[in-house]
Amino acid sequence: MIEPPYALTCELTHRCPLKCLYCSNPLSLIRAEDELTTDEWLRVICEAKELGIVQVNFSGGEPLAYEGLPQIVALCKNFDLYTHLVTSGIGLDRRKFDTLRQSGLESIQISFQADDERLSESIAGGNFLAQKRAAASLVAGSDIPLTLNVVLSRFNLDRLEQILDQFLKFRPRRIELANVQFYGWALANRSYLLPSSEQLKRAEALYLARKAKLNGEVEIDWVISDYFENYPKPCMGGWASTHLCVTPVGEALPCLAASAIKGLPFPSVKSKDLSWIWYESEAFNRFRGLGWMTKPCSECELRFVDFGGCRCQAFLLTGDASSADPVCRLSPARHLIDEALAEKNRTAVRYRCFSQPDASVP
Amino acid sequence: MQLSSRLKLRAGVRLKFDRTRNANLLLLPERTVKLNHSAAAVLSCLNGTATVDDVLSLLAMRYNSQNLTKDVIAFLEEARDKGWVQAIDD
Repeated sequence: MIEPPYALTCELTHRCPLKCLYCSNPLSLIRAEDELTTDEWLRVICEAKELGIVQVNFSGGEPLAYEGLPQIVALCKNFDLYTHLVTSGIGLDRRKFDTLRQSGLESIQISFQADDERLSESIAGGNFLAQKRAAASLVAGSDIPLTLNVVLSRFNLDRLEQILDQFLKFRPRRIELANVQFYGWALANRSYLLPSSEQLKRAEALYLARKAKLNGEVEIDWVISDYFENYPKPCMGGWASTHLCVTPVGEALPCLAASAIKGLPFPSVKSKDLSWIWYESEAFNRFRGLGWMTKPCSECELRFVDFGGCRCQAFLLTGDASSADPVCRLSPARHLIDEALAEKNRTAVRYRCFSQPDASVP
Repeated sequence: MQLSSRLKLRAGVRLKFDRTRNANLLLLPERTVKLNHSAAAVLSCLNGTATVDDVLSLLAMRYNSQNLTKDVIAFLEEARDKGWVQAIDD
């Protein structure tokens, strides 16, 4: 039996003032003129509530760049849906913050790149640190719980201690230390972003020490760097099991990275309702459960634990979304990961950008 | 955990009865926990004014049992460690 999903992620826009090297958005970004309208999002929220969704996350791009955000938050509040904003902090001034708070926004996550301006700028492709600090102070001084996030890579893993010291000044509810995952722009910049295993080990030891010291006062999470593991991550708890995502153009996905999987017809919220998409669509059913698996997954005891790993990573690296996640030591394609880890030649670095000049991008 | 502590759900954490699943849910940033009946019963007592002792008396009365103390305190300590609840004088 298919259970209803718990969470909806609304990827409101791909517009973003930052150009982060590790961005997980697809290389071909969706333009402002192709975005869903606020009315279309409001209809999606109505369908989400009917479907049994209880949490709505807003992401992007920079979701604050989407004009209709407060209206969408207000409808969620009306339906008693939990709302969480994932933002760079850019654009979160006092006025915007008050509007969102009054609309009923319940939780905010702000991402940082590093603890100092020079390094932040080299990762984000611009100088945003002061604005981020101002936004974090604004949330810290309110009753909305603050999560602080940093995406960790070769560039900033050695600064983890300073990054944590900076974070703790904002008295966050939660800290998320997310090792970079290789999708979208991050995959294009993989040879630049991959850390050394020594860097990663030092940082993880530091994380564990600080976690013990904080003793639950601040929740602190570590998102693993799966390339250095022997077995894959149990991505999204299995394909289309708890979560549904909608892209700026209205494409419904089981996970935001899934748009990379070619040949799988993802339905649009413009022509289908969320209930049909969740229960009936081919795309959402394709990798549900364990029946789609081939060897080695189909005969492996770990299939109940990791569900064969990430379908998007399997597709991106092997071209076959039904193969084992190549991170797995049992995958015949594991050499692809080992080769990436051993790669010494670094490709030219690519900052996130729209494919052609676009007047709508700030 | 002190019997005199006043507990509340932490900011950004709330209880919701979900009609779709006919279950009590705990909603947190980017996370949902499906609660069993007893967990929901304990958490719903935490209003920021009741002490742990008050919560124990209330539950003892409601479930007509005097043997809940150990389990309830163990659960509240776990809930505190998971960041679901906090003492109000923290």
